[in-house]
Amino acid sequence: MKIFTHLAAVTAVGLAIACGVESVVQGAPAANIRQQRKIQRQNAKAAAEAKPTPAPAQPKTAPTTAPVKVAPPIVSGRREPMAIAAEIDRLIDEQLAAAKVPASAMADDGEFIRRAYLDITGRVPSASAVGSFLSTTDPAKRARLIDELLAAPQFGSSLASIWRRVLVPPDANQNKPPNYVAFEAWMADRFNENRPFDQTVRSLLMAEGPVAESPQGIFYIANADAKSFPQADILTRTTSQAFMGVQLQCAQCHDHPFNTQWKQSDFWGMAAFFGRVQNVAAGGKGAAGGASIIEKIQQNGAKKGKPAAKVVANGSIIIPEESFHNVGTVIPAKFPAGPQPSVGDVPQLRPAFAVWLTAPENKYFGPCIANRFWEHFMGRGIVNPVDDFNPDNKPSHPELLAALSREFVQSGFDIKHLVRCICNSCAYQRSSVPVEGNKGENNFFARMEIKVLSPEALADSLEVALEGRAVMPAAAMMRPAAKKGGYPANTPRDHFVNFFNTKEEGAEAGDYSYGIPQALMLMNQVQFNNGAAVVDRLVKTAPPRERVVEQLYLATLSRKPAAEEMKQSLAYILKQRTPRDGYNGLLWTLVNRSEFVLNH
Amino acid sequence: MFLKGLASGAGAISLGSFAGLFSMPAFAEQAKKEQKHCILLWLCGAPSQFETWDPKPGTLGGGPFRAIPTKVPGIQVSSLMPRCASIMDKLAVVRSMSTKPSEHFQGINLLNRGAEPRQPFVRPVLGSVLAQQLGHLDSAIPNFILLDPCPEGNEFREFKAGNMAGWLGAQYGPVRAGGSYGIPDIQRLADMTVTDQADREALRQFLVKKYENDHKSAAAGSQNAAFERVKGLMSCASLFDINRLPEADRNKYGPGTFGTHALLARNLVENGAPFVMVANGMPWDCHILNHETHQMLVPELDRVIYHLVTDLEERGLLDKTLVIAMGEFGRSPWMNASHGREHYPTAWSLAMAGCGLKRGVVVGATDPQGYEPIEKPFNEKNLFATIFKALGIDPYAEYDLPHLPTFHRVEDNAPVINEILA
Amino acid sequence: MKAEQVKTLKLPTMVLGLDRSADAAHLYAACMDGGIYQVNVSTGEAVVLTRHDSFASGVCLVPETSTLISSGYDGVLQWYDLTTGKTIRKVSAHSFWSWQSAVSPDGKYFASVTGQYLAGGPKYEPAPETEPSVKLFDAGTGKTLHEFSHVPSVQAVAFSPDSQYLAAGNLMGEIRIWEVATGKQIATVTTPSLTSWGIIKVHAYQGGVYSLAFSPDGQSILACGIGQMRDPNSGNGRQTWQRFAWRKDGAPRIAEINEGDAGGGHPEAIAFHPSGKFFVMAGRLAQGKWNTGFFGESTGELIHSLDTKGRLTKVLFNVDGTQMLLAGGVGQPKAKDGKYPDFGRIVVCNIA
Repeated sequence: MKIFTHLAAVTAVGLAIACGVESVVQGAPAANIRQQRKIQRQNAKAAAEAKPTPAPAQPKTAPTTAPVKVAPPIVSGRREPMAIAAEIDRLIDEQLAAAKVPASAMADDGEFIRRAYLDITGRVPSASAVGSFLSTTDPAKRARLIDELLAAPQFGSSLASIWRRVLVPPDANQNKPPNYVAFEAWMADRFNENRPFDQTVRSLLMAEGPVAESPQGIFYIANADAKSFPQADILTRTTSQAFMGVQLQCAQCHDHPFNTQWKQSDFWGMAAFFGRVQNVAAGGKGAAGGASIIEKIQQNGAKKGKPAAKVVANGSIIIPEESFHNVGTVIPAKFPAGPQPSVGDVPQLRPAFAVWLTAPENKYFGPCIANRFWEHFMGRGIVNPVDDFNPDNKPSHPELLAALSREFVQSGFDIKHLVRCICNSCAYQRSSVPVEGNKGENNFFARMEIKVLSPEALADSLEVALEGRAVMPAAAMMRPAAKKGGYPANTPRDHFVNFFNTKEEGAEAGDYSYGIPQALMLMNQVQFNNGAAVVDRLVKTAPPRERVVEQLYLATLSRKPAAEEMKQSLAYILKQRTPRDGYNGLLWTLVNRSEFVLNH
Repeated sequence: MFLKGLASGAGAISLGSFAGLFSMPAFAEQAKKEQKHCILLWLCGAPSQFETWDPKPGTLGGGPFRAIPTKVPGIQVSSLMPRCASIMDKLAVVRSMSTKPSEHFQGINLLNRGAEPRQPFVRPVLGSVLAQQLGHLDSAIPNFILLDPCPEGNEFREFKAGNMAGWLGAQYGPVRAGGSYGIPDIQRLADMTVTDQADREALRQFLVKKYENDHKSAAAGSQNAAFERVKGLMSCASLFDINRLPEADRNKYGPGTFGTHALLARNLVENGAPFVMVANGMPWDCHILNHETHQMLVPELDRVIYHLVTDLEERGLLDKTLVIAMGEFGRSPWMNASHGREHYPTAWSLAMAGCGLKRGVVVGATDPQGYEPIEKPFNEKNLFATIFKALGIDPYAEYDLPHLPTFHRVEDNAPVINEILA
Repeated sequence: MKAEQVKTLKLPTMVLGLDRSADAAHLYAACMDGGIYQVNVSTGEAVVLTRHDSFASGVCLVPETSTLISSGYDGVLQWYDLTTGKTIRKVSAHSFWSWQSAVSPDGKYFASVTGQYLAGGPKYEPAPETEPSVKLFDAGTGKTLHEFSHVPSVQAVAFSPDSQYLAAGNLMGEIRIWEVATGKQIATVTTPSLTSWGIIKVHAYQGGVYSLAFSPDGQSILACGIGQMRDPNSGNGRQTWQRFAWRKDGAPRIAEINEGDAGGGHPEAIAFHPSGKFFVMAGRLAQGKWNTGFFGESTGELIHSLDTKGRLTKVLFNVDGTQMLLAGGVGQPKAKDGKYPDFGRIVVCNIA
């Protein structure tokens, strides 16, 4: 018998509204199609003119780890983003045509600005940003907006929180949560400075020294046992999923008869590279906080702490007792499905792995990262799920993945460039409203996938929409305040994010996982009922009611109300004792609707 | 992946005794289905087996309390539990629990999830599993209620802040209530009238239709479903109000908050709640003044178990309700220098009663000093298999979790504790 | 002054009560195994005189007599004649523990205190007593002279030096004082400092008054216990004594331990030195420097300290004050070769 875990869907489907209400928003498919063609023409033109440009110079910052030999880059430069966007569309459209699936219309400007803000900066645009965007007639305004958002500091911070969840996963077994605030700050800086991503990953994998100085070392403290001792097997699992997109840990315990891709020796061979990592402060007070130190060891065992695995000479690892097969076997450090490097007795094994992983010719790294970014923007990986590249889970668009990956690598692992390429495509700029013939599974990127706002995006969007005072601690879900040992006190935003952090393992971007407590909070907490700063402002400045309704729509849904919405809203406001009561009520209806919590 | 389970959906929907709480009268005929319930008296901090179910008077570490005879000849319990002694013929006690973790956080997770952690996968806690198995997603009364009037509490607070529902998903997470903090945000704001709320809701309903109709999005449907459930929950908020319970009952169970919340649990179960967990911080962690604290806590527990079991029986609910009283491990057979007992997972006791269990039985035994089990040691997997079996749930079923390794409700086919199963 | 540990005597289990012969050559120890032991100080030899059915919590040698009166967690008081080696009398005094007992300095009275802490309110306020919490007996005949009411649990009891007054302190930090002759309650001292209502982990009370001592002039009274804790299970409250002018209106607090002198821990015993110049507070140390502190009578300052390790339950002096005896024990060790090592301790100190 199988246990089915998705009964929620029964209810969800059962309750899905299927009544035929008059269309209250005037659709603009014709205009959209014109716009789509315009963008395609622009992109095609750019493609024709495209010439590779040199890779960006690398920022001059002191390396945080010992210098290592990196193979000379085979970078031939990056191409025009518009050219790549055109290539994306060509490859998507080819498959749409082959499958005879129609594409949805282009998103209108309101949908686009909301989506771009949410995807690139992790929050909705302010009412004024939407207002000016809607009124601008510049034909290249979408491309310009993408550039502006990429330059905003929120780009780095919102990406950092996404990557933090991948690299510093919340862990039911760890006594003290690691200081992910410092880790996120480190990631955010690197995204904002647009450091080549291969460099960032090497810096992460080769982290050393006190985490107060090298916050990327928190990676090792998080992928550890209950007492913050780094664990080679956990590090291997996280690293392979995050940067290679593979489930190497399937082979942790034994070889699989049906999955010939990975052998137990691949898992433990990779684990061997992490075998000597130590958290010198582990096990003691402050192990997870600022006092912890990641340090190389000379050979087996330093005085404090303990190495991440049983290692023997030449960096070999011993398969531990928890495995089912081959316990005690000595496995030399070896690249997954790759050669066994000659590591000799070097004190550090990680550099060899980090260099191998991030080399331009590595067949896992480029596609994995390109696919992860694609999934972030499109709501669905070309290989889906993104951490499960395997022969039975083929890419839906192999050529597209290859093209994206090639461009990413050749651009010098330029993240902002990759984002520009994806976001300027028509595929990204399509509406999420299905048309006849493309409902159901969205295997061909015929429409935009609807994504549920992450807890962070929801918190930050509420702050934008309500103009502050939106995020208050959920008293009953309070996590510990500041503790000794270096990690900072939780802010109200942290409380909110923790409270809304309900996503289940393996859930996709479109799975709605917020439950009753979260709904109660949005429904009944005071700031969503009355007292939002935005209402104070609107009452004070007392614009006409129509203008207030419009402002509230722009602030929350990034669009103007349709005529019928305006009519109903005004009727409601008129019924209330005071205009303030009316605005409060309207804001409540805006925040408490699916359109607000979804990125569509 | 989201739509999996559609086929099994209908069977999981049924009605409780409080018909007004359910929003889908179409399923009324399912009302015949026997609703099963579980109340977990979660004795967090870890109570002492010596001062409860496995007294060792006269031994070096046995403590000051006597052992007293019970209604079942040959079975003795601590003198702090005279009422439980009088209904021993309704209880099932395991005296040979033997588990591994000796720290609270790991112990709390182990005894709530029933297996060691396997990172990064998060196994759902017992309450979430039972909410999914015994509950109804359309019911107004929540399927997993956690009553815990003491919100603070170190490791237990960390646990509560964590992901309880694990891979089952947030819809099987707990609705928390208790003490002065109640269910967060369940009340309408004081300055909002019913009409205000209805007006807003009418506007909201009207405005969402277009979007949901256009997008046909499962996520939008789920959001709306959660919203509907919240409205249902707000309608049964009074079930969570201790002050509405009969005073005579409050006097029997109370006046301490653990007792009054156990009474609330009884009331919720009577009204159809499938799973209620009653905790009260982690008061049992007696590293200091063990006996001085147990002299107060155990008599309260004694009264609570007695009244809960007898009340459920009187109401004809004991056959359908499994009551479990346990902590995350036991306490050491030796005393430290602070009148305290330390954590002790090697040999400890727990008690159960009701649904699917034998009555008046003790299984397992420890050596004379209480250091080791000498008969039939059981671990968390045996316990969880037993709980599932008692409630009529397949203990070894495999989860259908796309992209995840294979997991079972209870791993390793760990055997049930046959001695206590009816 | 100076105090020096000169000898440690071992008993099988924790020592909860202690008295001495007039010449301090023999000690009488009430132990967790229920035994009332006689210990020869010079040889360390210990013999069991009698036993209680639960922990023995107190033992007193009635001055100028050969009668020992012991008390236990079985609620029973036993009169034992040292000359005949026989138990003279057993009195079932309480249905719960005798937490502590005391004999009056003039040898006429014996008092024992009891009380089970049961939840009496939503915040776990103690429920009212179901039997008298304080009982006063004729030390010679065992006859009950008075029964006094208090709020459980009543954990500490002491007579004034002139034997005219009896004080009893409870879990909630309330000390009631009665006139022995009339049985009238004449004073109440209340201190919230010695009890903790837990904020973290447990919403209930813990701690309270663990030991009481009248000053030599009888005008003030010392109370000690564990200071307030957010988490009562942590045992790290401040080592605390407070001194009250109990005869004055409102029984004001006139002194307490200096903050800088105290570590964290659980004092269970307090006593004046026969000279009256200083007093000693003793009990388990959680964190800090000493488990036995010596405090100037007039200044209240810490003038000397010892750390004897482990738990201390009782402190007393010989007649001329040259010797101090500390009772208690260490954490219970695990069995070695099937035998359980002794964990009761009596520490003998010379005072100069």
